[in-house]
Amino acid sequence: MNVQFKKGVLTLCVLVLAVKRDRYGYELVDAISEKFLIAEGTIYPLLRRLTKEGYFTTYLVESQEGPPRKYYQLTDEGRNYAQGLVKEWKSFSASVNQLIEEGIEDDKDGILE
Amino acid sequence: MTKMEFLNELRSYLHKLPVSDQEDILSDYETHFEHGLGKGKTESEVIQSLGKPKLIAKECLADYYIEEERPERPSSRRFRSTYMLIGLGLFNLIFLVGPFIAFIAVVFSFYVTAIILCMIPLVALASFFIVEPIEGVFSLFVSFICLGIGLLMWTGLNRFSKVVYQWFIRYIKSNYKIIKGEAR
Repeated sequence: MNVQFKKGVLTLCVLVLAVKRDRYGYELVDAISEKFLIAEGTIYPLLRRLTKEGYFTTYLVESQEGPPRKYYQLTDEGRNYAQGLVKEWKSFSASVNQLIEEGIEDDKDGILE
Repeated sequence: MTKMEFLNELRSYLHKLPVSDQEDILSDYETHFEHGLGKGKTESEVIQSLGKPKLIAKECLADYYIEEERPERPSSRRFRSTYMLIGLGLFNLIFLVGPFIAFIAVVFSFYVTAIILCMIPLVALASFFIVEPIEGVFSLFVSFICLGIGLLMWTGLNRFSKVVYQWFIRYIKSNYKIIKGEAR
C-alpha cells in the first residue's frame, strides 16, 4: 500500500480508537494490528507526532500486572481533527465503493469475483 | 535479534535527535516489549511484528525534520516579539513617557533661563542709555554676572543633555534587542 496513504489511514484509526476512551500505547498497537498487517513499530512515532501537534495529551498510569501505561487522551483539537478525517474518509470510501460496484457490474468476465 | 540488540540498533539510528527525545522513543519500545512479553510473546515475536529498527528510526527522523523545517519557530518567535512589543510599549507609555516629557520640559526651561540670562546685558545696555547712567552702571555689572551664570548654565546643560541623549539611545537600542529576542 502507498506509504502516505497508509499513514493517513493509521492516523485516522489511532484517533478514532481514542474517541471513546483514553488508550495506552500497546493497546492501540494491538487493536490496529489485529485488523491489518503493519509494522507495529511505526505507530509509536505516529503517536509522538500527533501528541506534538497537540491532538493528544499523555499521562502515565502505574499498573499492577505489568509495565506502566502511557495513556493517550484526545484534546478538543484532536477530536475536531478526528471528526474531519472521518468525514473525509467516508466520502472517499463511498466514492471508491461506488467505482468498485460499477466495475463489478461491467465485469462480464468475472475477473473481480 | 534480541530485545537489547533491537533497542541498541534503534538508538544508533537516532543519534541525531536530542537525547531527551531518544530516551522518550526508546522507553516507548521498552514498554512495548514488556507488554508483549507479559502477554506471553517471545522477544523475537515482538521484534518481528514491530518491524525493522531502521524503518522506525526513519519515521522518527522524518517527523523530526518536518518539525525542524516548519516555520513554526520563527512565527512563534514573531508572536513572542509582538507580545514583547506590546508589553514594552505599555511599560514605556505608563512609566516612562510621562516622567520623560516632564524631564524634557525641565531641561528646556533651564535652557530658556540660560538664554534669558545671557540676554540680560542687552537690556541693561539699553537702560544704561535710557535711564540714569549711575544706576545704569550698577545694573550693567549685575547683568554681566547674569551673563556669566547664563553661559555656565548653557555649557553645563549641553554636557548634561549629551549624556542623557546617550542613555536614551542606549535604552531604545536595548528595547529593540529585547523585541528582536536577542536579549535574555
